[in-house]
Amino acid sequence: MKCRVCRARAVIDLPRHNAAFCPPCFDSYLMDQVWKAIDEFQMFTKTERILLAVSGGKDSLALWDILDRLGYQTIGYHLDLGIGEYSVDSLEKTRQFAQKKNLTLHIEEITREAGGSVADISEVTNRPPCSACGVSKRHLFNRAAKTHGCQVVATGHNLDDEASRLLGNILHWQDGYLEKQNPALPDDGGLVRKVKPLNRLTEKEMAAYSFLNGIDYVVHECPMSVNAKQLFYKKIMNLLEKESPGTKQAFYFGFLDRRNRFYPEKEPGEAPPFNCQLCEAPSYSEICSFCRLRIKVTSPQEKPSRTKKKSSSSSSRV
Amino acid sequence: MSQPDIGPTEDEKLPSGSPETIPVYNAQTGIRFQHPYRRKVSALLRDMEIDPETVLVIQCNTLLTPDESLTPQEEVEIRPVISGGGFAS
Repeated sequence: MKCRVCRARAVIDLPRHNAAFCPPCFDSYLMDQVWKAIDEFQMFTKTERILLAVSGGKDSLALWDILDRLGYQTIGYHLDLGIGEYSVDSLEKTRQFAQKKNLTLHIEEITREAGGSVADISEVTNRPPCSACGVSKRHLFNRAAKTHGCQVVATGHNLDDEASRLLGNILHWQDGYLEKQNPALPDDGGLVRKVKPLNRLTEKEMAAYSFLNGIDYVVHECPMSVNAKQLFYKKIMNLLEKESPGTKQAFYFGFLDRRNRFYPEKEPGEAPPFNCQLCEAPSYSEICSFCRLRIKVTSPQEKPSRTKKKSSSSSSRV
Repeated sequence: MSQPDIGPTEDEKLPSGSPETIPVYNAQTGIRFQHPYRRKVSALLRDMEIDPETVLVIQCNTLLTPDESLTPQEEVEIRPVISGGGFAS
């Protein structure tokens, strides 16, 4: 297979673009796609500080690398989820990347901030692990952005993440989530702006970028997400894509083009009426949802059965 | 992903003297194993019921496209690219 641009030997083929690229031309293509996303959705400017949520996986580390190359001001933020060896590995890869690139990285632990690991929170709240993880991340990303003077939080969600999420939300007509499915959510109600600059690129493209640029990332899947619905929706999207290349992109960008028709843009919301009595975050009740969760996780009646066993191992590894 | 067994195409037929197996490394599970040798990446992936869009195929530190030939005896790394869990973050 030859590169569409220079006819050198290709290392990646992109059926949805009916194209293949050699390493340098793939790099130009990929950087251009990220730049287009930032520009089209006015995600951020070079004078703003970006808090980048870095998990240690291919997408977030690659995004950090790309934004740094493009000259944006980034601060890395890693949340240690307390998921055994997976989290140890994730933290190590993130640290190594930051050190190698001389980038600023802040680290927090979910066990310290929320009172328990993702598994503990899931058990106590009776939510799926990914949902329990999401509640904590939303709060802690936002708090970290404010603490470090960042105007925007960027995450490494890619086209596959967004298309599969859209499929799940449409299948269940989740209007509340569909309304907010936007690669650039403006700051609203005490939450800082949130952006997804990789929304034009697939998982395979991000994995290829990481490989070609020598980024050492966590290849293993999060053990908590094995049965996650999103993986099932991704499989369905990949089946459709295989039969008809370009479907994923057409589905997702078709939705974004029509989103305002179904969910008209609202004026920026007013700040929530309360400040949480415990953490002072803007809140719709006197105690914010994250602090309520923390109270539940740490309450003696609700104490998860696994906490005792876990705490000894997690303290020894950090 | 399963596909109907349509047998090897002319392009995928093994020349005489080809090795019987090729070493494969699954980067996600960390498992190494021997798989019947296939000349083309596409044939190996079809054999293993893997959608080419869901993995990187790496041999001799080089990314391979599905039409490429595999070097006998050299380990082939199959690196899944799918990640994910919750929608929230």
